[in-house]
Amino acid sequence: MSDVQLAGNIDAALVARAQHGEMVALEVLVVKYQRRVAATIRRLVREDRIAEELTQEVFLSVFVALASFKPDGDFAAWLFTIARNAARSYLRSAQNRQDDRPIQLADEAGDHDRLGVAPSPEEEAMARQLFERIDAEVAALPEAQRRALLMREIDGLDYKAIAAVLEQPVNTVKSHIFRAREAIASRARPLLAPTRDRRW
Amino acid sequence: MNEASRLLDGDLTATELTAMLERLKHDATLRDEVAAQQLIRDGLAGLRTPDDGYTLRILARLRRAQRGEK
Repeated sequence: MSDVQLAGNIDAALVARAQHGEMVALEVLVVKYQRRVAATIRRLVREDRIAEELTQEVFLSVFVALASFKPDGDFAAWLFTIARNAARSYLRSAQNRQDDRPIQLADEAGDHDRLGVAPSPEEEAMARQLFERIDAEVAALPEAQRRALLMREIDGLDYKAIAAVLEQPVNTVKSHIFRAREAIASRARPLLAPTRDRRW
Repeated sequence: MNEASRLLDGDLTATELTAMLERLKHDATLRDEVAAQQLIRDGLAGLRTPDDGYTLRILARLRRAQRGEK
Protein backbone atom coordinates (compact mmCIF):
# COMPACT_ATOMS: atom_id res chain seq x y z
CA MET A 1 0.00 0.00 0.00
CA SER A 2 1.40 3.41 -0.89
CA ASP A 3 1.98 5.87 1.89
CA VAL A 4 -0.70 8.38 0.99
CA GLN A 5 -3.11 10.26 3.20
CA LEU A 6 -6.13 8.00 3.72
CA ALA A 7 -8.59 10.90 4.08
CA GLY A 8 -12.10 9.70 3.19
CA ASN A 9 -10.84 6.16 2.73
CA ILE A 10 -10.05 5.50 6.37
CA ASP A 11 -13.04 3.19 6.81
CA ALA A 12 -12.15 1.13 3.75
CA ALA A 13 -8.55 0.95 4.98
CA LEU A 14 -9.76 -0.29 8.37
CA VAL A 15 -12.01 -2.89 6.75
CA ALA A 16 -9.09 -4.06 4.61
CA ARG A 17 -7.00 -4.57 7.77
CA ALA A 18 -9.89 -6.39 9.43
CA GLN A 19 -10.25 -8.62 6.37
CA HIS A 20 -6.66 -9.68 7.01
CA GLY A 21 -7.50 -10.67 10.55
CA GLU A 22 -6.55 -7.47 12.35
CA MET A 23 -9.44 -7.33 14.81
CA VAL A 24 -8.32 -4.04 16.30
CA ALA A 25 -9.23 -2.38 12.98
CA LEU A 26 -12.79 -3.69 13.28
CA GLU A 27 -12.84 -2.51 16.90
CA VAL A 28 -12.04 1.03 15.75
CA LEU A 29 -15.04 0.87 13.42
CA VAL A 30 -17.26 -0.36 16.27
CA VAL A 31 -16.11 2.50 18.50
CA LYS A 32 -16.67 4.97 15.69
CA TYR A 33 -20.12 3.84 14.56
CA GLN A 34 -21.90 1.98 17.35
CA ARG A 35 -23.88 4.92 18.72
CA ARG A 36 -25.00 5.97 15.24
CA VAL A 37 -26.02 2.42 14.39
CA ALA A 38 -27.94 2.14 17.68
CA ALA A 39 -29.68 5.47 17.00
CA THR A 40 -30.68 4.40 13.49
CA ILE A 41 -32.17 1.15 14.79
CA ARG A 42 -33.81 2.84 17.78
CA ARG A 43 -35.66 5.22 15.45
CA LEU A 44 -37.18 2.20 13.72
CA VAL A 45 -37.88 -0.21 16.57
CA ARG A 46 -38.49 2.47 19.24
CA GLU A 47 -37.25 0.33 22.07
CA ASP A 48 -33.82 0.79 23.65
CA ARG A 49 -33.40 -2.79 24.70
CA ILE A 50 -34.16 -4.20 21.26
CA ALA A 51 -32.03 -1.52 19.60
CA GLU A 52 -29.03 -2.50 21.69
CA GLU A 53 -29.47 -6.16 20.96
CA LEU A 54 -29.86 -5.53 17.23
CA THR A 55 -26.81 -3.25 17.22
CA GLN A 56 -24.73 -6.15 18.47
CA GLU A 57 -26.23 -8.37 15.79
CA VAL A 58 -25.36 -5.79 13.14
CA PHE A 59 -21.69 -5.76 14.07
CA LEU A 60 -21.67 -9.55 14.18
CA SER A 61 -23.15 -9.54 10.67
CA VAL A 62 -20.43 -7.13 9.56
CA PHE A 63 -17.80 -9.44 11.01
CA VAL A 64 -19.27 -12.47 9.27
CA ALA A 65 -19.65 -10.64 5.93
CA LEU A 66 -16.31 -8.80 6.04
CA ALA A 67 -14.88 -10.80 3.16
CA SER A 68 -17.68 -9.65 0.85
CA PHE A 69 -16.96 -5.95 1.37
CA LYS A 70 -15.33 -4.46 -1.74
CA PRO A 71 -12.21 -2.32 -1.23
CA ASP A 72 -13.78 0.64 -3.06
CA GLY A 73 -17.08 0.31 -1.18
CA ASP A 74 -18.67 2.83 1.16
CA PHE A 75 -18.44 1.18 4.58
CA ALA A 76 -20.90 3.52 6.29
CA ALA A 77 -23.54 2.97 3.59
CA TRP A 78 -23.03 -0.80 3.86
CA LEU A 79 -23.19 -0.73 7.65
CA PHE A 80 -26.37 1.36 7.82
CA THR A 81 -28.03 -0.82 5.21
CA ILE A 82 -27.33 -3.84 7.41
CA ALA A 83 -28.66 -1.90 10.41
CA ARG A 84 -31.90 -0.87 8.70
CA ASN A 85 -32.42 -4.39 7.37
CA ALA A 86 -31.92 -5.83 10.86
CA ALA A 87 -34.50 -3.43 12.29
CA ARG A 88 -37.02 -4.13 9.52
CA SER A 89 -36.50 -7.85 9.86
CA TYR A 90 -37.14 -7.58 13.60
CA LEU A 91 -40.30 -5.54 13.01
CA ARG A 92 -41.56 -8.05 10.44
CA SER A 93 -40.95 -10.97 12.78
CA ALA A 94 -42.63 -9.07 15.63
CA GLN A 95 -45.68 -8.50 13.42
CA ASN A 96 -45.75 -12.15 12.46
CA ARG A 97 -45.64 -13.43 16.02
CA GLN A 98 -49.16 -14.38 16.90
CA ASP A 99 -48.83 -14.41 20.66
CA ASP A 100 -47.19 -10.96 20.71
CA ARG A 101 -44.50 -12.02 23.14
CA PRO A 102 -41.18 -10.16 22.77
CA ILE A 103 -38.31 -12.09 21.25
CA GLN A 104 -36.04 -13.76 23.76
CA LEU A 105 -32.99 -11.61 24.17
CA ALA A 106 -29.55 -13.03 24.69
CA ASP A 107 -29.31 -12.02 28.35
CA GLU A 108 -32.57 -13.79 29.08
CA ALA A 109 -31.12 -16.85 27.44
CA GLY A 110 -28.30 -17.01 29.95
CA ASP A 111 -25.77 -14.77 28.23
CA HIS A 112 -23.59 -13.07 30.80
CA ASP A 113 -22.71 -10.03 28.75
CA ARG A 114 -25.48 -7.86 30.13
CA LEU A 115 -27.00 -7.34 26.73
CA GLY A 116 -29.48 -4.58 26.33
CA VAL A 117 -29.63 -3.78 30.04
CA ALA A 118 -30.71 -0.23 30.77
CA PRO A 119 -28.02 2.09 32.15
CA SER A 120 -28.00 2.57 35.92
CA PRO A 121 -29.24 5.86 37.41
CA GLU A 122 -25.60 6.62 38.26
CA GLU A 123 -24.56 6.11 34.64
CA GLU A 124 -27.46 8.26 33.46
CA ALA A 125 -26.47 11.03 35.87
CA MET A 126 -22.83 10.91 34.80
CA ALA A 127 -23.83 11.08 31.15
CA ARG A 128 -26.10 14.04 31.80
CA GLN A 129 -23.31 15.85 33.61
CA LEU A 130 -20.85 15.12 30.81
CA PHE A 131 -23.11 16.35 28.03
CA GLU A 132 -24.09 19.46 29.97
CA ARG A 133 -20.40 20.21 30.34
CA ILE A 134 -19.87 19.68 26.62
CA ASP A 135 -22.74 22.06 25.81
CA ALA A 136 -21.28 24.67 28.15
CA GLU A 137 -17.84 24.32 26.60
CA VAL A 138 -19.23 24.61 23.08
CA ALA A 139 -21.05 27.79 24.07
CA ALA A 140 -17.83 29.20 25.50
CA LEU A 141 -15.75 28.59 22.36
CA PRO A 142 -14.57 31.50 20.23
CA GLU A 143 -17.07 32.11 17.41
CA ALA A 144 -14.79 30.90 14.59
CA GLN A 145 -14.06 27.63 16.38
CA ARG A 146 -17.69 27.06 17.33
CA ARG A 147 -19.01 27.61 13.82
CA ALA A 148 -16.44 25.29 12.26
CA LEU A 149 -16.97 22.60 14.90
CA LEU A 150 -20.75 22.62 14.60
CA MET A 151 -20.61 22.44 10.81
CA ARG A 152 -18.42 19.40 11.18
CA GLU A 153 -20.22 17.59 14.02
CA ILE A 154 -23.84 18.63 13.56
CA ASP A 155 -24.06 19.23 9.82
CA GLY A 156 -21.56 16.50 8.95
CA LEU A 157 -19.69 18.67 6.45
CA ASP A 158 -16.14 17.75 5.49
CA TYR A 159 -13.26 20.16 5.92
CA LYS A 160 -13.36 21.32 2.30
CA ALA A 161 -17.05 22.15 2.44
CA ILE A 162 -16.63 24.03 5.73
CA ALA A 163 -13.69 25.96 4.26
CA ALA A 164 -15.85 26.94 1.30
CA VAL A 165 -18.74 28.11 3.50
CA LEU A 166 -16.48 30.06 5.86
CA GLU A 167 -14.23 31.26 3.03
CA GLN A 168 -11.15 30.16 4.91
CA PRO A 169 -8.24 27.87 4.00
CA VAL A 170 -8.80 24.18 4.80
CA ASN A 171 -5.88 24.18 7.22
CA THR A 172 -7.38 27.08 9.15
CA VAL A 173 -10.65 25.20 9.44
CA LYS A 174 -8.81 22.07 10.61
CA SER A 175 -6.98 24.14 13.18
CA HIS A 176 -10.22 25.71 14.49
CA ILE A 177 -11.88 22.32 14.82
CA PHE A 178 -8.85 20.75 16.44
CA ARG A 179 -8.57 23.55 19.00
CA ALA A 180 -12.28 23.37 19.73
CA ARG A 181 -12.17 19.61 20.28
CA GLU A 182 -9.10 19.89 22.47
CA ALA A 183 -10.71 22.61 24.59
CA ILE A 184 -13.83 20.53 25.08
CA ALA A 185 -11.94 17.29 25.70
CA SER A 186 -9.58 18.81 28.25
CA ARG A 187 -12.49 20.13 30.30
CA ALA A 188 -14.58 17.01 29.87
CA ARG A 189 -11.73 14.66 30.83
CA PRO A 190 -12.38 14.70 34.60
CA LEU A 191 -15.96 13.64 33.87
CA LEU A 192 -14.79 10.91 31.51
CA ALA A 193 -12.34 9.36 33.97
CA PRO A 194 -14.81 7.36 36.10
CA THR A 195 -16.11 5.42 33.08
CA ARG A 196 -12.73 4.82 31.50
CA ASP A 197 -12.84 1.05 32.02
CA ARG A 198 -16.24 0.89 30.32
CA ARG A 199 -15.24 2.36 26.98
CA TRP A 200 -12.64 0.28 25.14
CA MET B 1 -3.44 17.37 15.98
CA ASN B 2 -3.60 14.47 18.39
CA GLU B 3 -3.40 10.91 17.16
CA ALA B 4 -6.89 9.88 18.20
CA SER B 5 -8.43 12.77 16.27
CA ARG B 6 -6.29 12.04 13.25
CA LEU B 7 -7.41 8.40 13.27
CA LEU B 8 -11.09 9.28 13.54
CA ASP B 9 -10.76 11.93 10.82
CA GLY B 10 -8.85 9.62 8.49
CA ASP B 11 -5.99 12.07 8.63
CA LEU B 12 -3.33 9.37 8.68
CA THR B 13 -1.15 7.86 6.01
CA ALA B 14 -1.29 4.11 5.44
CA THR B 15 2.02 3.70 7.28
CA GLU B 16 0.77 5.77 10.21
CA LEU B 17 -2.40 3.70 10.33
CA THR B 18 -0.37 0.50 10.55
CA ALA B 19 1.66 1.93 13.44
CA MET B 20 -1.45 3.26 15.15
CA LEU B 21 -3.27 -0.08 14.99
CA GLU B 22 -0.23 -1.82 16.41
CA ARG B 23 -0.16 0.62 19.32
CA LEU B 24 -3.89 0.30 19.91
CA LYS B 25 -3.44 -3.41 20.53
CA HIS B 26 -1.24 -2.71 23.55
CA ASP B 27 -1.87 0.86 24.66
CA ALA B 28 -4.98 1.14 26.83
CA THR B 29 -4.51 4.89 27.27
CA LEU B 30 -4.56 5.43 23.53
CA ARG B 31 -7.63 3.21 23.16
CA ASP B 32 -9.38 5.25 25.82
CA GLU B 33 -8.42 8.50 24.10
CA VAL B 34 -9.94 7.29 20.81
CA ALA B 35 -13.12 6.12 22.55
CA ALA B 36 -13.40 9.33 24.59
CA GLN B 37 -12.92 11.51 21.52
CA GLN B 38 -15.63 9.55 19.72
CA LEU B 39 -17.95 9.84 22.73
CA ILE B 40 -17.54 13.63 22.66
CA ARG B 41 -18.12 13.76 18.90
CA ASP B 42 -21.23 11.65 19.22
CA GLY B 43 -22.40 13.84 22.09
CA LEU B 44 -21.96 16.94 19.96
CA ALA B 45 -23.99 15.26 17.23
CA GLY B 46 -26.82 14.58 19.69
CA LEU B 47 -26.09 10.90 20.34
CA ARG B 48 -26.07 11.12 24.10
CA THR B 49 -26.07 7.61 25.45
CA PRO B 50 -24.47 6.81 28.81
CA ASP B 51 -21.04 5.25 28.92
CA ASP B 52 -22.34 2.00 30.39
CA GLY B 53 -19.90 -0.46 28.83
CA TYR B 54 -21.99 -1.20 25.80
CA THR B 55 -19.06 -0.91 23.39
CA LEU B 56 -17.16 -3.47 25.45
CA ARG B 57 -20.08 -5.87 25.24
CA ILE B 58 -20.18 -5.59 21.44
CA LEU B 59 -16.44 -6.17 21.29
CA ALA B 60 -16.71 -9.16 23.60
CA ARG B 61 -19.26 -10.73 21.26
CA LEU B 62 -17.06 -10.07 18.25
CA ARG B 63 -14.08 -11.67 19.97
CA ARG B 64 -16.16 -14.69 20.81
CA ALA B 65 -17.30 -14.90 17.18
CA GLN B 66 -13.69 -14.65 16.06
CA ARG B 67 -12.83 -17.58 18.31
CA GLY B 68 -15.70 -19.49 16.73
CA GLU B 69 -17.84 -19.35 19.85
CA LYS B 70 -21.50 -18.36 19.89
